[in-house]
Amino acid sequence: MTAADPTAWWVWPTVLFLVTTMLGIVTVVGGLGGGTIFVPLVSGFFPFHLDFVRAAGLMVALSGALSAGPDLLKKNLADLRLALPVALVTSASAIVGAKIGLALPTQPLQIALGGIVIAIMFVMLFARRADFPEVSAGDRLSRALGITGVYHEASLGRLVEWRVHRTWAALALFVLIGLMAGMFGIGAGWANVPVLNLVMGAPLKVAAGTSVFLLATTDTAAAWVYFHEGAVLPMIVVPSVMGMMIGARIGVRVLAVARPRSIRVVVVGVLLFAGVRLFLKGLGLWN
Amino acid sequence: MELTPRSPLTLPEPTREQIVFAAILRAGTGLSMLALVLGFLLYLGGLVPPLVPIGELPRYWGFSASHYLAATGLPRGWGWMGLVGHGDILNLVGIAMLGGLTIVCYLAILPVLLRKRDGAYSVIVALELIVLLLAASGLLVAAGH
Repeated sequence: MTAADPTAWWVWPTVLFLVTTMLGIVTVVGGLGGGTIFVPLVSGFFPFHLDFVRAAGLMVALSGALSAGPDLLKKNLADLRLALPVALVTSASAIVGAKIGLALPTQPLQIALGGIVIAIMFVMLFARRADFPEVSAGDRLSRALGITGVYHEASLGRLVEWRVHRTWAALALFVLIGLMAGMFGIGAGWANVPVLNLVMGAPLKVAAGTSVFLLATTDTAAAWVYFHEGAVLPMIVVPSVMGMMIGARIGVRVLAVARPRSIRVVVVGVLLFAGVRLFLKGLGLWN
Repeated sequence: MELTPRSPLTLPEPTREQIVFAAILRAGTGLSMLALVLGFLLYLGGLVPPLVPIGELPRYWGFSASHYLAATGLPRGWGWMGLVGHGDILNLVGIAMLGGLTIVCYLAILPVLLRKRDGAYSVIVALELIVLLLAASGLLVAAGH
């Protein structure tokens, strides 16, 4: 942007607050992370630079993860023994990703982000989920680290014992996930859950809970890089965080009466639209 | 995966480190959010004058972060601490608190793991602290410019 925006200063932050409140409702009902949809939507349709949007996206995802973390830990749905080795890998790579992301020009980033968002949409649509993957024996690393657990599966009314395998392969994938989270400022729940669940073999609920915990560490590391580089603009971050928090609380109530499948279709549609928009914006075809 | 309706499994209590982590996270998130909201209300209400006039923000929010810093004269890294008397900069306190929360949690569980003589996880948490403290320190800014 080279010229002053003629719109009154309060208009965009107010719209941002309202949109993120809606996003908060939709993401809870649709079972998605807020950061994943926040960054493509806001960078595609708001006048804010991608640097500020990515930093706000990280803070949105971080706030959500910090708020959900305590309950997940207390219910054994986020498992520290599973999360800590992974968090070390994702946080270190997220810092590298953030440094790369801030060094790259905006247009190629928009094109890449648009492509990734469209890919995320397909992952959401077609990725399999395994409630209780079969892991006959843990691998050597997971056994050495004692990564195993037991949680109460309310839907079955019984305890489920779990263990994980393919730990090295998963850690390699988490390097890539951390890089992308840092580079694009998107929460990485969409990628964490499939790797924890399908590659490592953690039960779906443990994978989802541990993913939230992972976001708290990964996004902290990346957010500090953006913070120190001046990309954290309170006028964008605070309405976004507050909107998402309020929306999530409303979403929990809406969840009881909503049809999550319909909401999920809407979210996937929004992701596709925002991804295409970003892709074309990066190519200079839709400014 | 073992579904165990008749097995002698009992649901284990969360580990001590999980309880400590959760307790700090819960208290810290509430406190950080409170700081964030209070700071923002002071900023919006004009009670603490901002460094960058609020009406001029639309001139800047389309800039890249580096361009924004150059245009406003704001410092990189922790330099904002010296300007915290300004309304817009005051908001960074709540944001930094949110960013520092996980670090505090890791600092708190390290002694718990050491007391349990859990060597592998003590090392992992110590390494995690190094990574997070490096990011939070601002040293990487100097390295990149």
